[in-house]
This record gives sequence, C-alpha cells and structure tokens, in this order.
Amino acid sequence: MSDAASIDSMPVVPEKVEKGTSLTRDAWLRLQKNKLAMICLWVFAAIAALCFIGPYFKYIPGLREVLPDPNATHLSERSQLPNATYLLGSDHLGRDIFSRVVHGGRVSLMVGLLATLVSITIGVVYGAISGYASGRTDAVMMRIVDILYSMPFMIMVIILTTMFGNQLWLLFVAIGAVEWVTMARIVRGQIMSLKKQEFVEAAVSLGYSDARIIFRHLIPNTIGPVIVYTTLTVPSVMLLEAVLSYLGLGVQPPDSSWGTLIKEGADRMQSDPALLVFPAIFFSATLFCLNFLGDGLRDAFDPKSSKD
Amino acid sequence: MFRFLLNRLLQSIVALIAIISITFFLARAAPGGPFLEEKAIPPHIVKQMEAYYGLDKPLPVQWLTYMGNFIQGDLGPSFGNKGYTVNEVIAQGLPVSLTIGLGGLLIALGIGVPIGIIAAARQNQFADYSLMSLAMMGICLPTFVTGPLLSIYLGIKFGWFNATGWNEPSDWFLPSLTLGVFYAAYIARLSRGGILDILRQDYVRTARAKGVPEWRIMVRHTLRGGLLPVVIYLGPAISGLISGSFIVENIFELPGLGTHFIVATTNRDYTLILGTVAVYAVLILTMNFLVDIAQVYLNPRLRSSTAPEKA
Repeated sequence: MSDAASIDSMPVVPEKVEKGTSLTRDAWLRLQKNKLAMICLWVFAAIAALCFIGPYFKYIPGLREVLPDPNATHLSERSQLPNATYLLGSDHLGRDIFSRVVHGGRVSLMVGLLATLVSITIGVVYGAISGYASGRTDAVMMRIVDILYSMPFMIMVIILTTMFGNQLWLLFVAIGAVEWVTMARIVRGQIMSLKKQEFVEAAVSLGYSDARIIFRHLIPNTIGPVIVYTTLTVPSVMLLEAVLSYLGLGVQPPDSSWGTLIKEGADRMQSDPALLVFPAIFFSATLFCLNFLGDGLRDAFDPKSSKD
Repeated sequence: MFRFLLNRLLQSIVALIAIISITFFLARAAPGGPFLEEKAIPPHIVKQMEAYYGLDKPLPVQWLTYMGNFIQGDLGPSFGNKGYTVNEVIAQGLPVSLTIGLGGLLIALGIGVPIGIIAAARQNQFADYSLMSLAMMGICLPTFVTGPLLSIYLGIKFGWFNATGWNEPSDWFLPSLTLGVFYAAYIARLSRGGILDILRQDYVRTARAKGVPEWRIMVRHTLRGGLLPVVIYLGPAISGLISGSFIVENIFELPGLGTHFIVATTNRDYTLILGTVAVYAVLILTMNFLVDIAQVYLNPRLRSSTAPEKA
C-alpha cells in the first residue's frame, strides 16, 4: 500500500523487498495462456487501431489512396467489386466502402468507449458509496437501482436523443446514463466484502476520511470485476448505438457509424450485398472479440469461476 | 414468501409511477411541441388548441390530470393521429407487437434451452464446443443484420414467407425468428452454465453413486435448479424483446407499437409517447413480477426467508 510510506515511524527497509506479483499481473499471465482470448485481443486491437489511425492516412502521401475521403463520390465508378483502387469495392455513389467502414468504425468505437466510460464512472462511484455506507443509505440506493433495473432503457434513450436534438455527445451521455446499473451492483458486492478486511480497518484507525478510504483503498481493489464488466459493456453499448443509428435516431449524416452503414446496406441489399456484408463483418467481429475477451478476463481474474 | 412478493408488487407500482412521471417531464422539457410543425396555424388558434388539450395549464396540474386519467385507463387523444385516441392506436398496434414478441420468446426458449442442455451434458466435447461457438455467433450477429438476411433469403429467394408486411397468419414467423435468435443464443449459454453448476453439487454425485441413469439425473435433479438463471433472465429479456421489436418492426414494416412509438417521438406526440411507454412499462413490470413468482416456486431457499437477497 502506498500510504504506508507516509507514516514517519515506519522503519527504513534496508534492502529491496521481494516483489510479489500483483493481482492484475497474475490475471494478465493467466489471460496469455487463453489462446482464443488473446487472438480476440489482438484482432480487436487491430480493428481499433485501424479505425482510430486510419482517418489520418489522408495526410500521408503513400497511404492516401488506401483510405480516400469516405464522402467523395465517383459517379463513373459506382458499385464496383473489390479491386486495387477500392479495396472492398465502391457503393452506389462510387464511395469507397473500406474507407467508409473505417471512418464509421471510429464513430462506433468512440461512442462505445466514451459511453462505457460514463456508465463505469457512475456505476463504480454509486456502487462504492452504497456498499461502503450500508444500512439505510444502502437500502435506499439499492431500491433506486432495482427500480431503474425494470425501466425500459431503450425507450428512455430514444426519448432523450430524439427530443433533445441529435448531438453526438448526448448520445453517449444518454447511453451511459442508463447502462451503469449493473456495474453499481457488481461494485457494491465487491466493496461489501472488501470493507471487512484488515487494511480498511487500518485505514479507519489511522483516521482517514470516508472519501479517501473509498477512492484510495476500496475502489482500486475492485479493478478485476470492473475491467471484466467494462469489456462486456463496450459491445452492448455499441449494439445500442447501432440500433439507434439503424432507426435513424443515433448518429446523423454526414457522420456515419457502423449502425448507419448497416442500415444503408440493408436498404440496398438486393442490388449490392457488399454494402451490408462488410460493415456487418467488422461490427460483428468487434462484438465477438470483446465478448470473448470479457469471458477470458473473467476466467483470468477469478480462476475459480471458470465457465465450465 | 408473501412479504417478498408483496414487496415486489409495491416496488413495481412505484416503478410504474416513476417511469410515467420521468417520461412525462422529460417529454415536456424537450424543445418543440406538437403544434410547431404546422406553421400555417395562426398563434391564437395554437393557443386555443393548447387550451383544448389542456397544454396551457401548469405542468404539475397537467401531470396530476394525466395520472388521474391513466388510473381510469384513459390515455387521452393522440396529437399525431388526428381523430384517434391513444387507446385506439395502442389497441391496433399492441397485438402485432405482442404476437411477434411472444413468438420470439418461444423460439428463443425452444432453441436455447435444448442446446444448453446438450452442451452441458457433453461438456468439453465436440458437441459442446460447436454449439457454444454457434451460440456466440448468434449473440454477435445483431438483429438488424439477421433480419434483412432472413427477409431476403427465406422471403424473396426461397419464397417461403412474405418478405415484409402483416397480412397473412404466417407473417409472424420471420420477425419472431429474427428476434429469437439472439435470445436463443444467450439462453443457451445461461442454461449450460446453470446446469453445469448444479451437476457439480453433492446431491448429483450422490445420485450418480446410487446408480441413477444420467438422463434421469438431468431431468429430475438438475433441470429445476439449473434453469433458474434462465428464468431470472426472462425479466431483462422482455425489455430486450421490446427494444428489439423497434428494429424488427422497422425491418419487416409491421404496424406495431414500436413503429407508433418511434413516429410519436419524432412528432412530439406527447400523449402517444406516454401511452406507449406506460404500456411497455406495465408489460415489463408484469413479466418481472411473474418471474419473481416463478423464482420463488423454483428456488425453495427463497420461500422460507422474509426478504431474500436478490440472486
């Protein structure tokens, strides 16, 4: 514990203490043995890197042709099959499908990550406070969670996004605001068992404030379940965003996400299946990888609860 | 047990009031109004219309009036569909949505539970791996990809069903299948996990030691407890099926409640938004309550204690 260093009376340790492996490092070592999860990790990393770095290719002369402007139309080169110029073909307006998928992916992943960040922040803080406070505060806070649990989430998000205008930030705030509930439950459970341990007793007897104990001592120890559930929240948030975009309620043109691309593709599926197939492959591959990675992480952080 | 269920019932009622109130104030807080689109209307007529619909009164008064009418089952006139009450619009859309939702649920259970049982019985064998990979793919293929694909292949290429629309009795099948695939996959994973948990219990080992045949252990000793996670999941699944119905009704062009709801939000049709949300909330809460009852029935540990921890 880092706080121990601040105590004056502590004897100076003369030589380097044997360093134990941390919980996170242990889990990482275990995860590396899980081949499927590692493949998923790398595939996801590759897709994410492509989507986040790809849009900057236009500043690099040699790579500019690989990812041209996703909105540039070439009416003389419509609906082409994959070839050297159009890596995944072109759509009905002569736009480069690969470039559109990469740019759409950036929006999808960004919404997925930011909305998850919002929901994780709310969920962790809420759960930690509820679990640490216990008693009546806890009961009231958890009753609120129970009620929120039975709320029709999707409906709330639709109302929020359609009625308050279609800004991108509103989209992920709305999604984040409804997705935190499960996280709060998980963290609460963790905190309840953690707070009975000696290091918390020590912190209490040192006179630390509740806030300090919650944020410095308890929350860092919930990192395992939080990482696992974060990995599983990202795909569900991305799915929600895609559903909204598919209905025309999420990301609006000229921006596009995988959801809007799939919608465009579904509309022209009969004449031009590539329009549906390629965004769908990227989208499904991302969800697939994140879900498997989440499963793998769960096994890695908690070897006892392995899925068999 | 009764206290548990009574608690849950009260909680559902509070939740219902909360959902309707939040929706009410959220809808009103949003910029725009139902009569703003039609610019041809002179301002004094808009005033009259607002007075007619009670929109000129202070918000809390409107809220009280609405709640009063709601309790009596009157959801008011629809702003968007002139000449129709919200009750009439819902009466027209709800049967469509209910049919495809129930169909989806039955398909999900009918496919998911058997797959889960087979995978658990053949744990870590070929059947297990192949079925679970299949289930994972089902989870990762979104409805809005499977829907158009089913519509084009089973509908247009093979001509077994109508690709879109709501005219023939068989038209429920494709939308329900689209909805059901995802939940079938999820339920397969849940039931496999639940059954495996039970198979590790001591009483199963005892049964095995007594020489009870494996199929009988599964049917008599395992299924009841093993399928508990599936039963608990049915609550969230219902809300999921409802949000799924927005997409599916869009893909298959069905005149369901979801379609009405989406149109209502873009038109600022306050009463219809509130009406559909209320119907959805009642559906979800009723299902959750039924799930609670089923849970008490299936899990004897819940029966004795007064206020059990939620699993």
